[in-house]
Amino acid sequence: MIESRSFAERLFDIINVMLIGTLSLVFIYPLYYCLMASFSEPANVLSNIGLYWRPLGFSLDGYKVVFNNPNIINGYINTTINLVIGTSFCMLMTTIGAYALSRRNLYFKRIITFFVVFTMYFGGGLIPTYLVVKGVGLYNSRWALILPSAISTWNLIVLKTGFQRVPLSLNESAVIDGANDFTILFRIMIPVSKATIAVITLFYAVSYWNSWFAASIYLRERKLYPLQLVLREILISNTVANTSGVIDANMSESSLMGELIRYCSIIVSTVPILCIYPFVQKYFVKGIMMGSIKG
Amino acid sequence: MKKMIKVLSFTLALALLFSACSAENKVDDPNAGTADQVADNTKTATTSPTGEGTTVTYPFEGETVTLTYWTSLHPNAASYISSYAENEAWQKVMKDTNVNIEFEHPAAGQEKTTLSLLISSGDMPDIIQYGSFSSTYSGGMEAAINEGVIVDLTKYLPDYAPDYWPLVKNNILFQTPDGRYAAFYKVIDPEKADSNWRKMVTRKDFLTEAGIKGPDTLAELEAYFQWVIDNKKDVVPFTLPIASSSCWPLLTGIFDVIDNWYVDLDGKVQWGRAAGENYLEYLTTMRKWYEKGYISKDWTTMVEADYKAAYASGKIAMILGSGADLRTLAASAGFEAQTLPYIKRDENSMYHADIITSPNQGDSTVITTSCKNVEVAVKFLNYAYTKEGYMTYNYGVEGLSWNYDAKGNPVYTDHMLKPEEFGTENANYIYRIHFAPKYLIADRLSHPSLLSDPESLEFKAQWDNDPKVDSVLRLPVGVQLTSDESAKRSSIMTDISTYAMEMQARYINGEIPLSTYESEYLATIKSMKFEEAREITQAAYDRYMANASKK
Repeated sequence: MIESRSFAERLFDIINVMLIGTLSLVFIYPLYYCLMASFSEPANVLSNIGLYWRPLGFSLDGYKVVFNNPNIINGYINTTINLVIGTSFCMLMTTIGAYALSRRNLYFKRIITFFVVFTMYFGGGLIPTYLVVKGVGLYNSRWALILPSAISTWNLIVLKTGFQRVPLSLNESAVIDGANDFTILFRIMIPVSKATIAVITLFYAVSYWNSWFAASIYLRERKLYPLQLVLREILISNTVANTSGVIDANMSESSLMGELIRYCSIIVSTVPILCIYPFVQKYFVKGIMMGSIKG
Repeated sequence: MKKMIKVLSFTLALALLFSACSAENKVDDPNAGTADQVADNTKTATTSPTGEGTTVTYPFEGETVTLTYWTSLHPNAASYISSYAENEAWQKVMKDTNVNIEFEHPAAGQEKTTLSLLISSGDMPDIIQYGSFSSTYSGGMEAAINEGVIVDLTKYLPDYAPDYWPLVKNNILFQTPDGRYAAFYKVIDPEKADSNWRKMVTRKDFLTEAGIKGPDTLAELEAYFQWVIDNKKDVVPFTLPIASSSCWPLLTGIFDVIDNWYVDLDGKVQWGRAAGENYLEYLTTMRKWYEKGYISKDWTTMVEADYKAAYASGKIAMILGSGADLRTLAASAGFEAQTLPYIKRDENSMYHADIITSPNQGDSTVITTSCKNVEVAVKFLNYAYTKEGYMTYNYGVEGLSWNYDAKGNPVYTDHMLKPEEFGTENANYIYRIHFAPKYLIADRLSHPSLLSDPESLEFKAQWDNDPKVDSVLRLPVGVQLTSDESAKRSSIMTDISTYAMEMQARYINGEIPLSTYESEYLATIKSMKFEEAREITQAAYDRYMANASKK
């Protein structure tokens, strides 16, 4: 059946689409800019002031420098490992924590929740955290990147609220059928809150993908360095001034490339995430209570 | 209710129990090791510790001691090696001294944070090599010694560093303000040092087209600027560097003003930007240049990267900066760079330079109190000042990277000059030890990049022997302030410097007429207690002169 829509509704639609369309362009353009700049000639990148619509002189120089660095493959591998282990570990901890805090009959619920939320606003600072991590023996190991930041309080609270919205009747019917808490958590709560879980997983995954600071202070061995740290080093080494003024084959790794390398490293680190996002997106669009009996 | 109390007390008890089982606190007693070590080390010292005349033999006898050495891995080397343990020269040094060095490298760019964390955690490496140590640790080296973080080297140097000690004995440049020795530094003989790297750099093709030979005087420079305006559309002749640049003396020097503290020909201490008439002349000329369009209209908003980029893309004809760096920049952009000599006021004037080569070239290296073998560490660091040691540090492995020629001078082999996988700029950090506390041999004699390319050597050394350059105005290197004086002076001068740079911009841009120079500018500076600062410096200078005449 074709609904006839009033003029006002159609006008609203048009304005809506225009506004959101403009906003989307504004959001996407910087990424497009980086993409175009990364394929340009180094000299043009430096001297250009203005918007890009296409690469200024096609060249793969920037990517060559980035991928020629022997540490880059290592960086990708490390980041992937950290991401997989880290995200699964984080999700496990967060779901268990959120489930526990969402139960009404938890002893000391108020106090525990207060302490948990308190950490969201106040922290010990860099040095106490460093001393704790070091004292526990995590220095120079992969777990220093995973364990200390295993639970993000914000995500925990979001998930806890999500669990609290699940109707109690689902819970009770499970208990009647003889389920214990673990079964309820893994068989009922998680499948029902798929959307929230997906969002939080994505948050954790992206934060692991982007992390470099924890690695820089806790890791000593260079072969454990994650991708972002390697990219950062590439960037720094290409902006270091050439002290001897010698013109030879290796001199191009100097000031001119600095800007270009910046754009190439942005693309190199963003593209994998961009590729994964569409697969997760369907969970955001559907509602929270998909696939369960309501009432 | 009763149940609640029971549960509560049980939880509390558990918590108390767990807090009692805390990890053992390892508090390092800084003096613990030394008593034993003295006994151990008598086999390595050849004569009794009485000051001069002691010698240390290398390699050390006995077991190989392991020392942890914290330093940053230069980005040029980081692409090829993962630690200096793979650097050939370091390997040779380790073998020659019979000391095993474990390198710890922080992530690039994070040196300061990582160092602060290391120090606060108490578990420090034995040796820390970090040039900015005294500015990272609050209170500087003095505070670091007083707070038990680093070892006071004063009593160790005469006995265990017989090659380093004579270089720094009684030299305040290597001491902390209260006269103690806290670190090993890179030492150079000022007579044999490199020339100044700050230059005015322009394009060779422009100069050839204009038919000008390296403008020498102010008038010639202005003629060159005018030529650029007349003949090159869309090219700005010149721009001024950022406020914090160290290249300002290149400009102020034309008018007999050094952009810093200096002493004028009457023996009176002056500060460049308050130097009465001469500074006014400088401002007037800059204002004239700005009006005529010689100076870019955007000069106040450009940062270094901007004007370097503009130079590379041909939009600005001349900038101030590092000659070597701009040469490679120009080459990648496709033209040849050309440096200018120091500009003099007119044909008969001298240019008074401010170049001071201090024998102390930085790279401060300290021994921390976590080190259990302080004598071994001191002796190890001393190796870099022995003849054998400094040849390895500066040139690399003998026989592999270099050999002595017939006249007894070191000559690089192809291994160093033509390495296959990486250029000489990188080999510099992989085959020899560039940044380290050592007896330094100037770059023009030891940097493989320069020596592999005679053109760049020539480029760097051009204008070095200009007879019309002298340094009569600069403050002698030995003029030193006490830490109180220094603190007082810097608290006055910080505000004055900021004001001076701001006013410079406003005068040059024409916002304020130069007629207010005396009434507003000088008067304000005076009211900011400038005379006090000048008196402090004058007193230090007089002190130095009195001492110098006594010797």
